[in-house]
Amino acid sequence: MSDFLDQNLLRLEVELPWARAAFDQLGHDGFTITDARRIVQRSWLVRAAIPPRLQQRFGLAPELHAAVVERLQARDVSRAYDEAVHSDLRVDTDLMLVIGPNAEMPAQVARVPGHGQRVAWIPPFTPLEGHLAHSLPRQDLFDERNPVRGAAVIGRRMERTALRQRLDAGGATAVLGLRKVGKTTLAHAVIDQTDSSTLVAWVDLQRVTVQDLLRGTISDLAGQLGLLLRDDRPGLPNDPLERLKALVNRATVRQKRVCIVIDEFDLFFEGDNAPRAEPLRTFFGLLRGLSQDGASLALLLLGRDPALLSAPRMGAATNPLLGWVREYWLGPMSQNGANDLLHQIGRRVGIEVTAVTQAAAYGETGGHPLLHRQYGSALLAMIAESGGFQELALVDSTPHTERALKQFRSSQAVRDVGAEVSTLLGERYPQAREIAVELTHEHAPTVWEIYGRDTEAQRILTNFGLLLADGSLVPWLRWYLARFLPSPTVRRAG
Amino acid sequence: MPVHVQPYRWSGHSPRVRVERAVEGRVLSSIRAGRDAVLVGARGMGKSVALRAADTALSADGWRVVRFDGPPADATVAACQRRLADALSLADNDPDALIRRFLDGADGAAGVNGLCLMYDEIEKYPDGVRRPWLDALATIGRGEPRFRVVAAGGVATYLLDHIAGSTFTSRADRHLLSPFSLAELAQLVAGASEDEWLAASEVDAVYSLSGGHPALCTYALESLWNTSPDVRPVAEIFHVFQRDQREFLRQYAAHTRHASLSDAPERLMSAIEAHEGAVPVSVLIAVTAGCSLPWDQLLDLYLASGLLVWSQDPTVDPVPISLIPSVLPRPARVEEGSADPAERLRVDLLSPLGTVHLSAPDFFHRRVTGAGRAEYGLVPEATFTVVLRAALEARGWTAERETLLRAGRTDLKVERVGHEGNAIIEVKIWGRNDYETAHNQVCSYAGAESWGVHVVMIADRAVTEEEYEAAVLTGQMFDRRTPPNLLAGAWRVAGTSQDGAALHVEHWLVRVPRR
Repeated sequence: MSDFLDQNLLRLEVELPWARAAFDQLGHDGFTITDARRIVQRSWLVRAAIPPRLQQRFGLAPELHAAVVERLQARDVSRAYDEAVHSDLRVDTDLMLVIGPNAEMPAQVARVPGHGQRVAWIPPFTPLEGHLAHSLPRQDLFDERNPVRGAAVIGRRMERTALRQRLDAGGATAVLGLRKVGKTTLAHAVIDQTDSSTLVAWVDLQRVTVQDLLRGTISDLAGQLGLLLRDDRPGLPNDPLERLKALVNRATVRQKRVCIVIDEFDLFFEGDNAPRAEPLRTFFGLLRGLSQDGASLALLLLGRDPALLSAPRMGAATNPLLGWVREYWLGPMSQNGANDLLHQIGRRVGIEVTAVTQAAAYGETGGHPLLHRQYGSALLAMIAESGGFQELALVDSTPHTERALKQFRSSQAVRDVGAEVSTLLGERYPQAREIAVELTHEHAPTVWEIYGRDTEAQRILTNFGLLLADGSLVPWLRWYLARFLPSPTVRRAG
Repeated sequence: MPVHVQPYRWSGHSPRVRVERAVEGRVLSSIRAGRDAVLVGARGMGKSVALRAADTALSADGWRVVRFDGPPADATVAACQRRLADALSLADNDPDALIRRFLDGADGAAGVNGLCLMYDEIEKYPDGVRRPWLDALATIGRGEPRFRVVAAGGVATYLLDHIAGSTFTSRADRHLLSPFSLAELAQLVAGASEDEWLAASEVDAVYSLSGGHPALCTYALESLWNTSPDVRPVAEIFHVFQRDQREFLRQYAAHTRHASLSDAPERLMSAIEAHEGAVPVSVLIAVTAGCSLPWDQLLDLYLASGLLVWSQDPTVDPVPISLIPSVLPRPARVEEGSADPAERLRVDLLSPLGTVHLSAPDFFHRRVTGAGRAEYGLVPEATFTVVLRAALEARGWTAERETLLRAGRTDLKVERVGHEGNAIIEVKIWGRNDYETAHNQVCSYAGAESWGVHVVMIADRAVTEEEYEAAVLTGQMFDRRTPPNLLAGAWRVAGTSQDGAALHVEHWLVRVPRR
């Protein structure tokens, strides 16, 4: 340990003498303290390396955060999470240990909101492994519907590499895919690992509530860049677009790269607040010009509809996105990534999801991240119903998978995703929906037998990850459409 | 009768006596687990009461809760933003920055454990405001577990989706309010007084006529608190409710209807009536064709309106669904059908009679016999009359109870705009009062203007057609008919009105078995 760390730990133990017993036990359990910082009086944040055996057993990252406090406050939990996100994947973002002095702490922890699992540990500080084994299964980590960050991102290795390469090369990339397929998670996973030489300005268009969506977006981007550059030199224009341009140029002068992320970019082109085409063209034209004139600028768009990017004209002139934005379709997770997700989170919540169940899960969800998590939730609920939590309860039999499937299909998440996909296809891609409905028939021929090869509608279904390699529909959607939409009539090609 | 301060106030949201509902705990669980929540319920199902309960619990946990009971006067996104800033005593145009400043302790003091915004009556927000505003808040909450949103309403909670989906609804937990169970109603009664101030039979009657709808139950209890049921029967209380609370009933219907649903609600109700207790998925798909909601969401909406119960399991086929009989208006097909009012009334009467048969257990109550023993028996005749009246009025008829006609008061006098004359319906319970003279009784009410005359006989045991004819139709000229689906017997019986005119009386035997 460094002298600095030693001194901090001494200060901690003077301020919170009861914590010494906790640190003694941590040492006995094989943990190594790597950092300790005082947040406020009687409130410390400690970072500890986890012994590899426990990392393996519980599916943990190499380190965890522990709050050593007399009274836990939500903002401390929030702060710890932010640090974990930017810890280069070393600190677990889904687990926070809360070390407290007395029996009131578990109730405090239960009242304080936070990401992932929060486990209270109080005197007499029993061995942590047993305590985690008892506490972790009681919080369903599978049921996460928001984007995840840091070490909580499981799988998507190829996608992360591919997107990182595109951003490093500059230019513009559009990550396209269904809602909740993981676009924002993927973008964060790449962006969070950029170093300080890259300035990232990120706007989610849903958060922009001003009447003028475009002006609000540009102002927000300029505001973020201004803060990141910490450049208070005079001379910045008042007009938001000119201001943004000036800030990008200043960043270039300081040899900084700029990455602009626009999430939910579809809202630029649809809805009551969609900007007029001319100002939008000016905005994207500026970005393209900056990118191509030597500024180190990358643009990342996240959304659903590729047609918006490839339309030949935007207003009265050529669409500046055409020929500049490259599409990157994000489909479901690979089977390996999906298996890892169930396995890793399963270990965290005390269930061993073996190969048979992993295969059954992937066979049903096709690797859709949110649905795959919901399948895990169904497994966990089933284990809990059947008699509580046993150590590493095995989930590897036909009755288990049948019950899990029923519970999975009954879940609100599955029905909501099914309704969203059905509506999106019906409104935006009616031919694709027609194909999907035809494929729900129990003895439906393959899509190629019905429609021939390589139609635009098939590409849409494939890009969205709804069509499997064998030409059949992904099972969860086939079940949903058959259960909620009128029966199809089978057609033949030609 | 107790003379204490009135413990019930059906039109208020802060009841002095209340029942803790399971849904309140589920909403709290969602918020504590870092998820937003949608609370679905029609008018009077208890949304506001549930929100207040959640507010109290979260505040005790160190959360700051802000409840908005409707849209701002200027119903725009900007006004919602200003109102939020005012509520948090901060000046910031950007809700993201505003919320973060609040959570991190704007004045330098420790921040709260969390901030929860509760939006009640989201029906009242314009479409172009409620979705973008809730989506903006949900996006802020995505990375911030200390910030949560709860939205409460009826059908509007299902219409938040855009074709591209909604960040708010796609990630929030949806929780449905449900009617009181009989046990919960009993708890609500018991909570007002240590003495048994209301007999079990009357509690059952309230339950039968309200279907457990919380506001209706509270209305009845408020009426009964200082009034003896002997003086003011429960059925009469609900009759008055139907007459005097039309605005409530209109708002209730508005929570469950929307143009985008097309006529799916009406077709759904008809399908449930037609399929005894379990509806095939193929039928559900067919009746919801053209509706903006899939059938499971439509069923959930009507469960949260107190009109039906269903298993909430979309994986089974057929799907167990049953209608809850009550005085609440139910979507009903008002078909053009026959121009002949008599024929039309026959069709519109048989439908609720089928529902009565299917909902049989709801029409039993506990009563104490003359010997002092407690037993279960059918609710009074008046209860059935009130239910039929509500069903007929939902189908466009005007139905009056206890109208004085010639020899006495008929249970129901039914009329229809555009047709002169009326129909008479007399309800009897087999084995009670003067059930054997039902035919002569109803003839004594009829006159030349009576184009339809009906006797509805409710039986809680198996009564054969021969038994019925022997008891009720002795000496009459009758034609035994094939009973319609769900009924136990049907006859067309010749009669003579008070003024000597020949008429035909339709007799319907409805079995209401104890299951």
